[in-house]
Amino acid sequence: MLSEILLALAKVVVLLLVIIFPLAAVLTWVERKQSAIMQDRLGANRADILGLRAWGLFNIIADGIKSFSKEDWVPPFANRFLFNIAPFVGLFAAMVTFAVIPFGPPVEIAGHEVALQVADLNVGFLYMLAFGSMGVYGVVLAGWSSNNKYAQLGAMRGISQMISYEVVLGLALVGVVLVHGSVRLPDIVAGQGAHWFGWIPKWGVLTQPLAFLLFLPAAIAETKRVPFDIPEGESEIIGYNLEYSGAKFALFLLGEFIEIVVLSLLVTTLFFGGWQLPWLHDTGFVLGNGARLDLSPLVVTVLRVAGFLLKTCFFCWLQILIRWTLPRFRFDQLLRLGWREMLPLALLNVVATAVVMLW
Amino acid sequence: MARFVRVDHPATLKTSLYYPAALAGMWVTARHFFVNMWRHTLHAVGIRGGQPGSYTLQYPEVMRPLPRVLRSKHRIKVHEDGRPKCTACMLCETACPDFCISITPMEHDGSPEEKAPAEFRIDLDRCCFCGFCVEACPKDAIYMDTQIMELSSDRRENFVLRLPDLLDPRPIPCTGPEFAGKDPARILPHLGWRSLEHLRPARVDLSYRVERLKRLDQGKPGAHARANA
Repeated sequence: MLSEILLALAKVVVLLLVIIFPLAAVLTWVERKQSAIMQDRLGANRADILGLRAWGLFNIIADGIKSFSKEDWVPPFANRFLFNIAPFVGLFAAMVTFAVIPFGPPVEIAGHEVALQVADLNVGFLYMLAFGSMGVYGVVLAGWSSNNKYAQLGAMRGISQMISYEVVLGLALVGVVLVHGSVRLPDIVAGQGAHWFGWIPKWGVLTQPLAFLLFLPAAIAETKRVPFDIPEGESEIIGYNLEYSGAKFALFLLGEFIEIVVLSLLVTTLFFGGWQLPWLHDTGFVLGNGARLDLSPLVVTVLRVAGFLLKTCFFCWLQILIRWTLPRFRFDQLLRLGWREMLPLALLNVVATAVVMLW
Repeated sequence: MARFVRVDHPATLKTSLYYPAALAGMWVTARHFFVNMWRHTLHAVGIRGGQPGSYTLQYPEVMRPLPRVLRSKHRIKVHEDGRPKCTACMLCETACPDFCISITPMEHDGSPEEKAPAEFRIDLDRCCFCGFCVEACPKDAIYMDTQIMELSSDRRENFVLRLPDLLDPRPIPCTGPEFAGKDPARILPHLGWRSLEHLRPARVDLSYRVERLKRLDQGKPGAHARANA
């Protein structure tokens, strides 16, 4: 029992320190540089250490120092307690989702089989959805406790947006669950390791294309990023984090970047095979025509984990591309899209998948 | 939220799907991303000469050539013997809509004009850079062609130019042999946007400013506070 707890803690620490925080920190830099390069600019490159600029990488440190040395101001008219915990609630909801994501196949260490996953819950799927929707509390509490009209407007927009799109999100994923017959994420990933005719990998994006097309925008709406950044809408209402400053504001930003990573992990896990690579089986590569390349289990595991991280990075990149390409939806357009266009399609997908699976 | 929305373009299947238009936009931005990354990579490994990966000018180090007609910091031309061409006729002070010029005249026996400025002050905090003083000057003495436009300071005194700051025989910083025979006003809109080859490091002569600041610091700060109006 104790060893299990220690193992889980070790996994949490490794996961946080090796994957999540570095990725989220680097994403702040990637976001600025990628948007600059997309727009024929150079981007942040002025922060230097002893004259070394390193393409602006030190801007991450400079940003951190700046935000943590700024005044942490609580407005006198705010609800102090809620105001102080709101950023942490948002961050918490974003970070706990990592627990159920399988980063790789189980590995054998010193005779024990260790799952590359913090918590192998048999309701992993529901856990993920539940904590994904807890993200709305960060927004609501921040907007409400600020006692500011615009922050409150942002919070209200956030609530209606996130609740609307949660419905679509959940329904889109029902199709995935129907295909794999399980709500355990490792099962879903394992199911995507099969191939049609030995050639075409049975990735979620191919078995459930409509679900993917609905899931991606709905999930971006859940992370409140452009084109669904209406709760923030900095050009019109500044948003739910209006009254925040210094380190707490930085926590909101960090939460946003962690949500990008979470979303990328989810898309990869549910629709792009998780840690499965095409034609890579436990023994090595096996192609449809029988050609094979045998690899040792260690190499296979390393390839799979690397492939998983690579796919995740690609989706982080894609989200930043989307964020710097598309304009913001108007609020009525957003709700109409969610309820009148995406929801019927999601229902249709569920029914069609169920019929196909039964038949 | 808009209560009434006038829809000029009724939704078609293509527009209400959103994906075609979104993907088209992402194609454009992704193409820019990859093309620029490729160019940056070429530059990083030392292959020069192609298109630049970005059109950003690294401003303090690199400066766009300024149009020669730009109205920048004032200067007063000098004769070959070093005395100012200004004869303290007060026309510029009269023409100035901001009352930022104040001249104290004095007699000058050694010059044919018999008159010269004892003190010539321009308060840049008031100046609107209209150039009326340049047009008013009958002696072609005051010019606004120094191309110095990075005028910033955290002290008001530093914005009051006095005669030693204005007597400036230096050539215009951004006119050099590479611009000989070209009309900067006409070629500049293209320079710096088409190709980075036309850019060169700005010749910002900092020693000049440091000297001026030193001079001003030695003087009494309150001495320039006299209102001109």
